[in-house]
Order: sequence, then structure tokens, then C-alpha cells
Amino acid sequence: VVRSKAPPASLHRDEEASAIELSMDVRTEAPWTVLDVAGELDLSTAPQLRKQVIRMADEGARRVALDFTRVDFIDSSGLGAIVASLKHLRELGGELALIAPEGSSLSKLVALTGLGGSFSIYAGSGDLPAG
Amino acid sequence: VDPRSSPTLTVPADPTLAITVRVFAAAAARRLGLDADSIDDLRLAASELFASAVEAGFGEFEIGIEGSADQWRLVASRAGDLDRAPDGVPFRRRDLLTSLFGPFEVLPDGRVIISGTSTA
Repeated sequence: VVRSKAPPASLHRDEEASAIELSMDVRTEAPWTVLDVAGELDLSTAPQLRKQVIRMADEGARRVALDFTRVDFIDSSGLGAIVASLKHLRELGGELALIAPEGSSLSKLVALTGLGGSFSIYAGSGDLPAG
Repeated sequence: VDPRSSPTLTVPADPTLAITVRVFAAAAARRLGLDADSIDDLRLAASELFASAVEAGFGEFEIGIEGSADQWRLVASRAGDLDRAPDGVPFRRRDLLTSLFGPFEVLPDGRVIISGTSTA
């Protein structure tokens, strides 16, 4: 397992007002590049996630897993960033997996919005498909 | 502190204050004695209503949670257009809030009133 601290996202106009930082760490669990996310995902922090996934894709990652185990809160703005990340990776021929334990904020929101069929969600990184 | 008092929070519609709105909603819900699931639901509702207000470009947002654990009421002013889908997602905030709480009121002056009961 290779770990590295994700560099801070460059400040664009929609991020300048973002006082609350998401904590994001990148690790490799071949064939997956896993982004550990910690904090709360809302309209203020969601752009940081979207930019980080784009950065990872730019650096060549195609199978990306977002680990939401340590995300305490997510709303529809956060879900929008996940959908944007999914679309971006698919356009590049890649795929996006989500790691979220049952009962987590993300699992609840996905169930509420009926988007369960849109995502591949796993309870832990050990459940990610190896093939 | 009288748990039936009805504190309100008025904040500029600045994205960085979303967490403040959620902390307020959770604290107000906890004070009323709501159970953990209801507190989570109200935290999500507060975040969605605030995000909607920010997206609408309104200068100020106001939210209050009042009543009791048995019968509570969330009132939000200047919460924007709940029929608009948030960026990138194929659902409306109105539908999300209805999934959480059932039907709710939007008054002609734009105030949103969500009522509920707790099973706690």
C-alpha cells in the first residue's frame, strides 16, 4: 500500500471561499487508486473532491475508489461531485467505485435519492473487485 | 433553558457557513429531544435548504426549529427554488425533502415549513 497526502487543490474562483478543508489522502491498492476522504461534503467542500478526482485522472488513474468511511456528512452537493467524478472517469474509459459502510451518511443519501443503481458501492476497500 | 423555545439562526448565504447551519439544526433538534435519526434528517434538510438559498443568490438565510420531540416544526426563509435540481444530480431538493419528511409546505412568501413527529 502506497500512501501520499493529496496536494491541496489549486484555488479557483468557486473554491476561494472554502474555509473548511476536506482531508484527502491517496493510496494505491492495485488495481485501484483509493482516495480516503474525511470531513463533511457540502456545497462548500464538494468542489475540492471533484478537482482532486480530476487531478488523479490527469495523472493516469483510471480505476478510482472514493473511501467515504470517515465522511461524517454528505448532502446533494457532495453527491453532485461524485456524479461529476463518475462521468469524468467514464469519459476516459475508467471507472469509479465508492466505499461506504451500511448506515453511513452516503449510503443513506444514495438510498433516499434512489441512485443506488448508478454507483458501485462497497462496504470496505477489501471488497473492491481485484480483476 | 426552555426546550420549547424557538431559536432561529440568520446567516449570510455564504457557502462556508453551511456547517454552521448544520450545527445549529442539530443542536436545536437535540434540545427538543429528537432521536439520533431525526437529528440527522434535520441536519440534512438544513444543509439542503441552505444550499438552495446560496444557489438562488439570496443574501441571507434564516432557519428555526421549534416545538417538542413529539411535534416539531422547521421553518426556513429565503430557501430558493426547491424544484431546481442541484448541480449534477437527477433529483429535485423538493423530492429529497419529501422522501425524508413527507409532504411539506412552501408559503407564498417563500417560507418552507416542514413538520414532523419523533418516535423517540
